[in-house]
Amino acid sequence: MRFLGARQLGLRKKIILWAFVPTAIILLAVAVVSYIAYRKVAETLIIERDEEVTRLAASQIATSLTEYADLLTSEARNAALGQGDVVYQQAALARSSSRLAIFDGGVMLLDSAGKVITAEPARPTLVGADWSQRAYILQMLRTARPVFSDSLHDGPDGSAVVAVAVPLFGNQDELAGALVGMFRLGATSISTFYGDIVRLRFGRYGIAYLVDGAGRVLYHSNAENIGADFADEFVVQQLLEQSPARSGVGSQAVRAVRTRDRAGQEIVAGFAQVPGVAWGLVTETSWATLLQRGSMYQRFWLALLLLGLVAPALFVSIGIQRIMQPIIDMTTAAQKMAAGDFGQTIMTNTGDEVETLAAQFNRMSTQLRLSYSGLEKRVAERTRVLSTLIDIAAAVNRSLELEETLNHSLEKTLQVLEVEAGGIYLLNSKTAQLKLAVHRGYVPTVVAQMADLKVGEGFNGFVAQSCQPLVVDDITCNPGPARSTLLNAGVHSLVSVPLRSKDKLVGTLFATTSTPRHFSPEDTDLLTSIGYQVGVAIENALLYSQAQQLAALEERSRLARELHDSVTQGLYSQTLLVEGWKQMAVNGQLQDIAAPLTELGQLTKQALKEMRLFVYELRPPDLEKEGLVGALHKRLNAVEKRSGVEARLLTDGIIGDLPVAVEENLYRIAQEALANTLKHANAQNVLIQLSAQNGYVTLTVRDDGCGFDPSAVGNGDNGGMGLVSMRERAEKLSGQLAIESAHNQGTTIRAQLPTLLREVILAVAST
Amino acid sequence: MQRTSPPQSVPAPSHQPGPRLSRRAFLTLGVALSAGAAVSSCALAENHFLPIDSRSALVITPAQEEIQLVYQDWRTDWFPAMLEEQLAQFHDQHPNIRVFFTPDPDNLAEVMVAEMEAGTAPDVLWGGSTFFPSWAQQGHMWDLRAYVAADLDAATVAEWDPVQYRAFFLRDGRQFGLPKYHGAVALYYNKDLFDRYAVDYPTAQWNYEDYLAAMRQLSQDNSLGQRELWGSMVDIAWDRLQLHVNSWGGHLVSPADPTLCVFDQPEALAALDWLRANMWEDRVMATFPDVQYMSPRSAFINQRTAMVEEGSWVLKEILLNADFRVGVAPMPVGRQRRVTLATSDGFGIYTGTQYPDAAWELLKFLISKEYGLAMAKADFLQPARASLVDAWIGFIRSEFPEQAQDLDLAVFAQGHFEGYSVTVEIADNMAEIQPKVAAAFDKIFTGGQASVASLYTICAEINQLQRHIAPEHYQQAE
Repeated sequence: MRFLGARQLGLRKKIILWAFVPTAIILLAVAVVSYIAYRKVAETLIIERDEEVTRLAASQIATSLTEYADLLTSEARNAALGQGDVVYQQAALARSSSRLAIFDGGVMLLDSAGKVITAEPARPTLVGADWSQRAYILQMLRTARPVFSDSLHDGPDGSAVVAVAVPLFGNQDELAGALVGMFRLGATSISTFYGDIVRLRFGRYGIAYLVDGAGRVLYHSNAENIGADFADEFVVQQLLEQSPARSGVGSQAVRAVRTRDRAGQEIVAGFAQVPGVAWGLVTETSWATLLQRGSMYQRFWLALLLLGLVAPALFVSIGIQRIMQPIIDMTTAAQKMAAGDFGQTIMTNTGDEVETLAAQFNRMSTQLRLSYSGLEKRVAERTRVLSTLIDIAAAVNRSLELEETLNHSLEKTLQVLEVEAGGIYLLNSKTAQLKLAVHRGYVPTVVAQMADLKVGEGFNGFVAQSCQPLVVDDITCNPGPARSTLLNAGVHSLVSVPLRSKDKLVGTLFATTSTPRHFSPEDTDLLTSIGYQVGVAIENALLYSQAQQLAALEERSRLARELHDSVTQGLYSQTLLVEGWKQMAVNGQLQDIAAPLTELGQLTKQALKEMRLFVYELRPPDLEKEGLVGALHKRLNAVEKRSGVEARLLTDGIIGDLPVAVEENLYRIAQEALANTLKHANAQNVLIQLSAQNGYVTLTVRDDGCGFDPSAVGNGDNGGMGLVSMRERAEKLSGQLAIESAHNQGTTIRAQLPTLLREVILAVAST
Repeated sequence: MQRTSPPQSVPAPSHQPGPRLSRRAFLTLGVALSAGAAVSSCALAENHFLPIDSRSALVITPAQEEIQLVYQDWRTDWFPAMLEEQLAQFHDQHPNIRVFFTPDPDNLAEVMVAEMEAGTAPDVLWGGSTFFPSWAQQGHMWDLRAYVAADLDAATVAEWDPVQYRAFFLRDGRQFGLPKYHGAVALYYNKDLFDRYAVDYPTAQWNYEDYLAAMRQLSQDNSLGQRELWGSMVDIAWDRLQLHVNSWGGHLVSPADPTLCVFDQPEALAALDWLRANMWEDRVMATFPDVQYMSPRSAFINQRTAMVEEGSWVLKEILLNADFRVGVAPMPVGRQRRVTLATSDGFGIYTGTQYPDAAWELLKFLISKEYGLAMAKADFLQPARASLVDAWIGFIRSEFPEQAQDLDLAVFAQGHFEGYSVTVEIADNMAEIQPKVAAAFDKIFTGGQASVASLYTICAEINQLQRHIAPEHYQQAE
């Protein structure tokens, strides 16, 4: 499968593509999903946390309030307070002043009618005041339980306070009055009431404030707001509406909402009713601040994500680099080896399969280098041998002169064997004698001693007899009649092989060294191969010599036959005619001498023509050198024109270069036709026309001779054989030959050959 | 906003909760994440890994600039008025800091530990000599060294009794408090009773034999043979008993090794047995049951005892309530030396405070001369600063010209000036040790049910307990 052009990528990129990219995508997807989930969960948790924190804080405030009430209730159990004697009551309060000191607004003792009896510290102006209509007093009287008031101005000098009232019981458990403790409110108060709230450390969540049942601020993180009316605040409204007193629902009103504060900033506001009182606690935390904490995690998340992408990428890259480097090295080394630079090695220390592979590669490289080195050596050796053989073969083919061939072959043999001396014996099979044909490196006296050997005599004689190669590393250890001769020549080692042609022994080839030398089987094989070449050369030289003798004999026979058939016959005819004319003259029968002389002249002239033709054929023109037209010109000038025949050559069209075969056959056809004209036509004029047209070349030979009847010409006489030969030549080249002749009307021979053949031949030649 | 912060060169307090561990955890994570951790760490602030709980949640600075602090101190009737006046000055000096006061709860030592664990303890509070170090040992008190080094000069520190000042350091060097007052212990005596029974007033040369002889002379039975007057009384408390042990040459805790209990040594046992014998054999020193569990000062005020070993912090109460002539003398010279107690009651900062810098400003105010004079004037608290002693004496003589006319008030400052003060010997792990010892002391002295030999076992138990606290020390010792 092709993926993103993966097939075109390197192995390293493929590994990264298939290993890291999917992992990175999955990591990214997981990170994004985690982030979204984190945001959702974080928002939910923030809201819930704010709600819970507010609820807990309200409960803690309630606990403190309960402790105040308990302290006051404990004091109220003092019997002296219920006795009705003001002096004792004042003294009892004074004794408890230390315990009651937390009520910085003072502690008031009320009678059962709700009138102030006494106060600690003393507040004479307050004595007799009727507080029976105070809401919290009424509620305390109704419930006979501790009750906390909303904000009041019953403090010293009319200062704002909150009060806690507890019932005071008499000896018969009748309600004897109330004990009221007050905490001062306001920015300047150091009240324990505030201290117990502040120590709860609402400030860590932002802003916190405590409002009474009317929405007035009892406590605020910013003390300047204490006493302010927050009843219009959205959160306070929510709080008051959901308070059990108004909603009728008994459970604690607790909630957290996202809203905006007075400054318009988005906040999370948690509000909770303080259990046991009509007050409510509100905490406000900036939404941005809350998210700021999350944004820190988001940055951490982003950093982790980047790390999750970068670190694996780095590790994968480094890891792949470490894995791939040996492979790259191997690839580079393999490329160098492919380019012929053997002996490449790779150093790896990975301890894994790659190291094993590298070791195998190094081993293979070493073996390949050694093999190649050996191969090169063998090739060089083989090349040297083949070169020698080719050289010798070339010498053999180049010349049919035996001595030249033998000399050259011996020279090359000594060179290739790197020896200083050697020679070639030729066998005279009739006498069974070996004659030293050529030699190198021996002094004449030794040569004289070595010149002739009988088959079976000496080392070479042994080789000739056995037709087997012979290697003598040390001739001193080998007996034999020729040993002394060679020893005298300083020879130490020798190799000799038979020279054969078509299983026929023609001689021996040998080489000697004056120093110890071991001739290897390769040397022997080389020498044997040379021996075959030399054997063939010797055979060829003999055959050539024989062929030359045979050809000369045949040529002499042909010339004799030709002379006999032409000139000799003519001269014989002249002799007969002259003898006849002599007889006639003797008999007086010769009336007219002119006519016989004329005839004699004609016969002589004919003989002269034939002699010219004969001489011309002994020295034919060089068609290849002079071309068809040139050769025809030379022929007409050399034969016909000298014979008194008016001969012309006309060319029509561009003849140009014709295939050799076409030229040769046209020339032979023209030569045959001209010879017929010269011999038989007795023509005065001969016209040769050459024309090239439409892919054909046409040769026309026309004479004004006596002509003949073409249909009367058979296949067996000489004249017929000439015409058949011309036709065969034309047809062999896909051409035609036409003969037009009649008695006394001359003869026209027309040969038409295709020049297409020329194109084909040229095409073949160019290929 | 004016802030006082430790100089940058001063290391920050080392025992602050939460952030250090969290940051270390983060750094560990960062190292595990190698090179990318650098990227992460650049993006993160120190507080990112704070656990979100009630104590170490990330502090969100309130929108307003006002800092609200809570200060806790004695629950006495005179304290609020004095404090309101003083805090008014402080608020004038620090308009951005608002201080609220809460009085001590009942069972202060135990309740405050719970409050501190819950994170609702006041920002600044006082601590008593016997439990203050325990709070610090549990990591609830801020290390003040950096603040002290930055803000307090040598002259200020030199004003305090060196013994008392050193008592506010833990063994590991952390400083958890600064002196609130001096509070020396002396021998209060009833001149009328001494005169009635023709006993010479105590002098600075008194030793324990003189003390015992006087107690025997002053102890009186009624017509029914019941003891109605005891020669003296001592509070059965760790620090009060320590004075006698020290004066006899012993210790409760080894000075060289706070993990080692040594009140089973002969000198300590002899001193303690001397007290026990006075209570239960000679019956010349009152026990709590003898005086219906009145405090020693109440027993003295009510003339149930002719003498009482009490501190200067009860001076006003005694002068105010005693209807007899009061005398005061140095503690008798023990078998080895004379000692008196320099209380190590002091002020400290709760580690859970959101505003340590502001809390330090408040603490500096509480140890100021002005505040010391205010306490000296309001309740005759003996000032911790030497320079305020004369003024303190003047306040007393001014308010009680007749009672204090012949009163040698300088006796209370002798320990400070003459250098024989001692502070409470604090063992490591006091929170666990003290209940055990208190029970043993009650059994010996209050109940008369055991001899001091029982302290061998108690001491062994304590030392066994300490092995878990400081195993290295015991390994070396063994």
